[in-house]
Amino acid sequence: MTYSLDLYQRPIATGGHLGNYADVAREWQRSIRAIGGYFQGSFTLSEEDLTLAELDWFYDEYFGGQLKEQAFMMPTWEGLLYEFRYVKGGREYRRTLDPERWHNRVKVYYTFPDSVDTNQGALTYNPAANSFQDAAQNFDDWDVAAGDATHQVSVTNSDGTNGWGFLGTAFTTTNPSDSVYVFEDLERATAGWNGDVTGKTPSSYTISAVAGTGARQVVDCRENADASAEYGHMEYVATLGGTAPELATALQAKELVEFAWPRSWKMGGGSASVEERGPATLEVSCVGFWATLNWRYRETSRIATAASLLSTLVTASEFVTAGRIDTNDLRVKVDCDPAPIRLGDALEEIVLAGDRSGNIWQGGVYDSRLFYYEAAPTTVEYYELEDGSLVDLAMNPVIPALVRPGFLLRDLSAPSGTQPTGTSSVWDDPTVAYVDEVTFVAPDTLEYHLMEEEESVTALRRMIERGEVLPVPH
Amino acid sequence: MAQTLKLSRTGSSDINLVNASGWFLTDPGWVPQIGEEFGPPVQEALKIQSNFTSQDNIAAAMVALNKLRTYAARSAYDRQEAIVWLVDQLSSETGQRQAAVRALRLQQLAEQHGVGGGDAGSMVDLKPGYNLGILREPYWERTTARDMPYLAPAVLASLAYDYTAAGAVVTAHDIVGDVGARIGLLSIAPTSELGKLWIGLRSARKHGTLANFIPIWECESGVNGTDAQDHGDADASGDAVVQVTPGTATWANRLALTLATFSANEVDNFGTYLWLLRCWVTSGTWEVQLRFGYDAMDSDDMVLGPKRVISWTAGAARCVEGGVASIPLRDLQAMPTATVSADLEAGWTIEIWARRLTGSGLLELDCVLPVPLDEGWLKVWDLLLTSSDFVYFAESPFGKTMVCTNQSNIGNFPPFVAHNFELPPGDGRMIIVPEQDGGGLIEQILINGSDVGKYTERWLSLRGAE
Repeated sequence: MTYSLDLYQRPIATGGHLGNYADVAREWQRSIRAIGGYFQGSFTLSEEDLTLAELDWFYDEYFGGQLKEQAFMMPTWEGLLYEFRYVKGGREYRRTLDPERWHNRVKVYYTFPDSVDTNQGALTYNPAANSFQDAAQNFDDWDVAAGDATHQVSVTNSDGTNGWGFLGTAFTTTNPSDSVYVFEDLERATAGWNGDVTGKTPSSYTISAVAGTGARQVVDCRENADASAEYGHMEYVATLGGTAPELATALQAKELVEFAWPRSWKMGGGSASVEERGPATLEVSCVGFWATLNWRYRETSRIATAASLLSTLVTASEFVTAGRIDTNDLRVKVDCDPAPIRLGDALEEIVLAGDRSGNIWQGGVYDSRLFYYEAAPTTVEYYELEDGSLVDLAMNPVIPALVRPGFLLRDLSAPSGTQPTGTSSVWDDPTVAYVDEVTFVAPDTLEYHLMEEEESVTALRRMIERGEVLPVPH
Repeated sequence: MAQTLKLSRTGSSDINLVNASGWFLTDPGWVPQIGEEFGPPVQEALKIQSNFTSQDNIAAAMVALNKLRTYAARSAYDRQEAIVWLVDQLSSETGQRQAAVRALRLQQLAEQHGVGGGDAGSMVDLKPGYNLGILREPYWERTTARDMPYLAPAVLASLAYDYTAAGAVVTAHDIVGDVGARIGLLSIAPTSELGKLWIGLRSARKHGTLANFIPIWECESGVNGTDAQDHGDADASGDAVVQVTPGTATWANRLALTLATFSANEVDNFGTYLWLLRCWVTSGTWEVQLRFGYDAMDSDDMVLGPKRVISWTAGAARCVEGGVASIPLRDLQAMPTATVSADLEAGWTIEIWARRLTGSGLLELDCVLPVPLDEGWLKVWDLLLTSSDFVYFAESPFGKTMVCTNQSNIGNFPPFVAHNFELPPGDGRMIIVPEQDGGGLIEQILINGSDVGKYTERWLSLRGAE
């Protein structure tokens, strides 16, 4: 066999070679993209090759592990075991690292009026019926004697519970207007509180305008540290429209409870049939380390040169480091308002932008989780022969597993056409095309995809429209 | 010579199928099937019959045969089960052969005689007969393994181990058989430490005079390019490197290595290789790329190897996997040396392109090491061996390969990739490139440092007198 598929512990762990699965990984294939680098892979394990106990163990213990392919003694692909689909005994189970189904650090952005004031002095519930006192506060600025309430109070109790309501008339208990009546509803029809106040001790509160313009609020990051320590940090930013802080906090808690661990999900229903079951199979989907760039977010907008911004974004990732980032002085913007953007998505858009001269650039994560960024080539590297085979410049057939995308291919049987007047660029040669993705299908098949130039032009136009690529001053 | 045909297993009694009491072959015209190299298992079909007359003896023969059926089935998936061998030798064939059995199947012959029951008149002659199906490996093996000769360590970045040469207790012996010999054990030990190992096989059958093969291309013997000059270095192969000063940070051709510089015997260096570049930086990072072509070519028309980033320093020197390329680059079937001289290949050239990425350090190029790929190869990495450790490679008769180390007995099972790593018939060499753990000085290795290496020659059909 000309390649190996070595499995290692999860990247958050150190070392740990778990075995070579090349012999039993059926239908192994993986792709590499000029923008993305090592991208996706897949294979299937079968009960025909491994025992059921070994399949169970693989499903339970090796999820999220690192997979490295070496072909002809050179590193040729690496990534993570990203998703399992395990079918045994007619039942189907799944585990996934899809960020929508797994995240252990959650932040919530939502819209809510800004707080106009907070606690000042000693707090007391109910100095008179359905009221609230802050001995050092004066509620005159926010009280209402008639009509709808204009402000609301949200109180956090000493035990972490909340009570909230709408403000009515202020009155004096100890100091002038240090107390205020509270209503359950905006119309002030029902005196009283929402939430928990009975028997509670208030510890802090905020006053906010009911009809004020919403402002972006954030519930600070909360994390399940145990899950992060085992699998790495998977951040998730939930965005809500106008809502109350309590709901935003509740959503954060719910996300962590439900998705902090990449648990096993039983899919579909059950069946009581005793029909013949086939051998158990475990379908494994893999992703390159580019995918882990999207495990973190960029939350601050910034304008900088493409190379500088890429360097910043790569540094912010957990598992990827910069291998080589070539100089590109195109100014670009990463826009994190109103919502933060995942690092990988930001990186992709910057790479797609190319450079000031309109040239194509490419970048991806390759061996040892290193990120490379460079201009696309300007010379032909491979030929396609009349019979469809791919050869190098010396006419030697390529070794499928060793080919990387991001090269120019000359089709020797293409109609030669005419090169446009005024250009000698090989990119304008009608017999030449840019290969932006290759897929190796074991044991010896190579599939490749040609870039349609419109893809990058469209992406660039989209970014300009959004103000993410800035005109360069001359 | 007596004919032999038997099923044999360590821990069980042999079951002779000819010239023995018990079972005998009823089809005198039987000859073994012929396997294919790297082909599927071979199905043999034999007609056998018991010549016992006692029912107890018949039963014992049946029990023995059925036990072997069970063992054979188990050994196909249980790696701790002893293998069942089919041992064969024709009546005038000098040497015995054996093939590993994957499965035994029995089917009663239509003309089988009864073994009991009914009245005495229906018990004909108590000689049950069967079609015996044997699913075996496609190769016949020599019944005893040969020893690998000992190799003393030498200070070389790459060495050519002649496994057909005479050793202290091994006589010189070219590999016989018509397919590659199975390596029963290859034992390699470092004199200092070992982190990575590349091995390629090179046979005289395919590649002419093995002694003319050049396993080390010293960089200081090449033609220096932009900002490059020779520089003495006691840690380098050949005690010298080509030093590239920072100059500009743009891509430039720093060094050209041409075949004629290293050998006038071009044909003896033909082959397909993984090209390793041993190098380091004094600080910062550099990027290198090997380009393969001919000395008169434009660099842009050469075959490009992958770009590699270099960040390790002299004390941690490593080998960069610089790409796969052949000498010659021409199609030898379309343009054989009989019609176009191999002198054409005198200009076969590797260019080493490099640029500085960060810092102001120098790039130092030590040597280029071709690892043969066109016959068989092995790479082992993530080794953590010190001078008292060994790394073992072995292949089972069922074709399963494995590598382990003996650090504190079996220390670990490092990752490896092996392809056709079997000794081709005839004279041959292993081209071995060792690298220290984490890089470092040139590592010296020895073969048979602990257990003696073994190999077993193989045939697709008959062995004869080989």
